[in-house]
This record gives sequence, C-alpha cells and structure tokens, in this order.
Amino acid sequence: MDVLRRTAGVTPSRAEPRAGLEEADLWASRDDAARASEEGLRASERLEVTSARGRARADAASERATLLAARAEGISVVARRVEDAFERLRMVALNAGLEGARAPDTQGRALLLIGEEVRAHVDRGAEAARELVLRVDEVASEASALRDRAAEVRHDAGEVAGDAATAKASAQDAGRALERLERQLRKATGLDPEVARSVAAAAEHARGLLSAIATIQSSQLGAMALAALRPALRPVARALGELAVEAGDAEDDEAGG
Amino acid sequence: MSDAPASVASPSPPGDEGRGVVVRFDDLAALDVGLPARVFLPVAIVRRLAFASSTLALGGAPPLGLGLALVEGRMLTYVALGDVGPQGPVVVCDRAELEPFALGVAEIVATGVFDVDERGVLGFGEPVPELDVADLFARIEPGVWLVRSEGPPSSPPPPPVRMQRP
Repeated sequence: MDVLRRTAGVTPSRAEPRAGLEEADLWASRDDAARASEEGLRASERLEVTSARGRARADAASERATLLAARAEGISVVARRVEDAFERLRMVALNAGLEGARAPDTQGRALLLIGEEVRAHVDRGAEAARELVLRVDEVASEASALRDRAAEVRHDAGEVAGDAATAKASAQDAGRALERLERQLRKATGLDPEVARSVAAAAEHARGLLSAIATIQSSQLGAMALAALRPALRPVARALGELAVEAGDAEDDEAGG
Repeated sequence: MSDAPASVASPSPPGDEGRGVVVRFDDLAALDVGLPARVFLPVAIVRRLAFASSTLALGGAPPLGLGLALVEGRMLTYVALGDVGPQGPVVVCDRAELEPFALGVAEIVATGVFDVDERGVLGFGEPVPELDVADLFARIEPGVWLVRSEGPPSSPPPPPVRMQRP
C-alpha cells in the first residue's frame, strides 16, 4: 500500500514517491531486458533449427549431385563404347572398300559402293556418339560443380549453426544475469516484481489520466465534458481519497510513534 | 629432324593406279620428316586395315618409331610416324621378300579407286603422293642403332671377375 500511495503521489511531503517510481522503472527495465533476452534465445533456437535443416538439404543436394555425376560417368563409358564400336565398324567398311579396290571391276564396284554407304552411316553415327560423349561429360562437370556448391552451402550452414549456438549461449547467459539482477533488485528494493509491475502500470495510467483531464479542461467544452465524465471519475476520486486518508493516518502514526 | 625429305614411291603398276588407301599422319610429325600429312598406299602392298591391340616401341629416329605391334593375333614389325597411341589404326603392308609390317597412322582417310595424275591421288584437296615404303625403312633402321649407340648406358659395366688362386 505504501508503494501505491507513493505511486499515486498522495504523500508529496517526502522523497519516497519518486524513489518508488524509480524502483518500479528499474523493475520494468529488468522485465524489458528479460523479454528481449527470451526473444533472442528463441530466435537463436529457431536459427539453429533452420541451419540444421539447411545443412541437411545441402547434404541431400550433394548426394544427388554425386549420384548424377556417377550416372553421367556411367553413360559416358557406354557412349565411349558406342564410339569405339563405330570406329571398328568404320574399319570394316574401309576394308570392304579396300577389297573392292583390289577385286575386278564388276565385283569390286559393288563392294566399293557398300563400303562407301556403310562408312557414310558410320561416320554420322560416330559423330553423334562423340557429341553424346561431350554432352555427357559436360553434365558430369556441371554435376561436379553442383556438388562443390552444395559443399559450400553446407559449410555456410555450419557456420550459421555455430553462430546460432553462440547466440543461444549468450542469450542464456543474459537470462542468468537477469535472474541474478532480479534477486539483487528484490534485495535492494524489497519489492515483489509483480507489485513493482503493478506500480509501474498504475503510475503510467495515473499520468495518462492527468494528461487527459488537462487536455479536456483546456478545451472549450471542457467543463461540460468533465461533468459528463464525473460518474466515471467518481470511483477513482473516491479510491484516491481513501488512499490519501490512509496515507495521513500512516504519517500520524509515524509522527506519534 | 631429317636432312632430306622422304621421297614418294614410283607410280603403281599399270591398271592399279588409284586403287588403294589414303592415310593421314600426324601433321607436325610428317612435317618434321618431310612427308606430306596424307599419303597413298596402293592395294598391291596393303593387306588389311585394322586396330593394333598393343604396341611396343623399340627405338627409331623420332618422330619415326620402330617397334612391335600385335594386330589381330599376329606380332608384326611396327612403324609409326608420331604418337598414334598404343591401340591406334594400322595398315598391314607387304614388303618385298620380307615379313609384313604394320604402319601406324593417325587416321585411315579412305579406301577405294581414286582418280590420279602424275602428282598423285586426286580428290583430297592437294594431290596425295604414294608413300615409298623402302625409303621409310631406309630412314628408320639406322636410326634405331644410332639412338641406341648414343644413348646413356642402362647400367654400369660389371666389375672384372677375379680368379682366386689356391
């Protein structure tokens, strides 16, 4: 009750009201710091989870890229076999042409034509196979680059996770420091944190009420408005009046004692 | 590398002109020995076209190399111009009164019956002259011994054996 009295400013004769408000402000600041610390802790925990998810995704991407590179390598091997088969088929066609050149004109001409025809097709097939090998090699190279990028992302996510862990530890340290501060505040001020919060809220509302009334009074219709507000303000005035009487009794007691 | 350019062969026998194989050597190697990059080999000396299964270099007068080649199950003398790889294409050729040999080339360009004039086979841009095989061997064989005699000893000579007297 003493605190409320100080907060309401009903005992203006001493320095106690201001001290009460400052103590309440201290507690309010402590509460703000606690809220900020708690929010920091939660954010760092979310960051830890997000970075862990990022690392897992980077791992999955890296795995896929490795798989892709391996498959591209497999296709490349097959395509090289195809290329080799075309080369050998080309050699068969060239030998047919050679035998065509060796044989008498009539027989030789047929062999030459077949050899030439086969060689033309083989050349086209071999060219396509070489193109395929090149393209597949490009895919393998891109997959390898993708794997490298995924490794970088994983590394970055690891660093973020490290920073998040540091932030979390710092937030936890801040929380512990605030708990110590609360104990010291409680010891120094003798106030319960809940009461202090109510004091701060009452002071804030009192300041607001006074400010609003002053604004109304300064307006042209102020008197009329205040008259209209009287039913609402009467309980407040009564409560403050009772507080003032109690405060006077307490002062008398102190003076008499 | 060589002092004199390799010569090309005398014209093919009548009736065989333009029948054979056009091959391509490695450009730089051919330039080095004074040969055109493309040469013509007549059917009279060409037995078969194939890929070597493996080759073994013995020496030579680089970029002309002499060695052994395994071609379709036969071990043959191997002559190559430039680096054509251990399993490159070869032309199996006959030499008069000697064993056939494998000529390693960069590419077998074409086979068939081609138009010819006094400069060589036509239809490949520049006329393609016929390769003089005898001249090729004449240039390469001394080179093998030259390289061997001038090369560093593979191991120091063994110490003299001393007989122990009883």
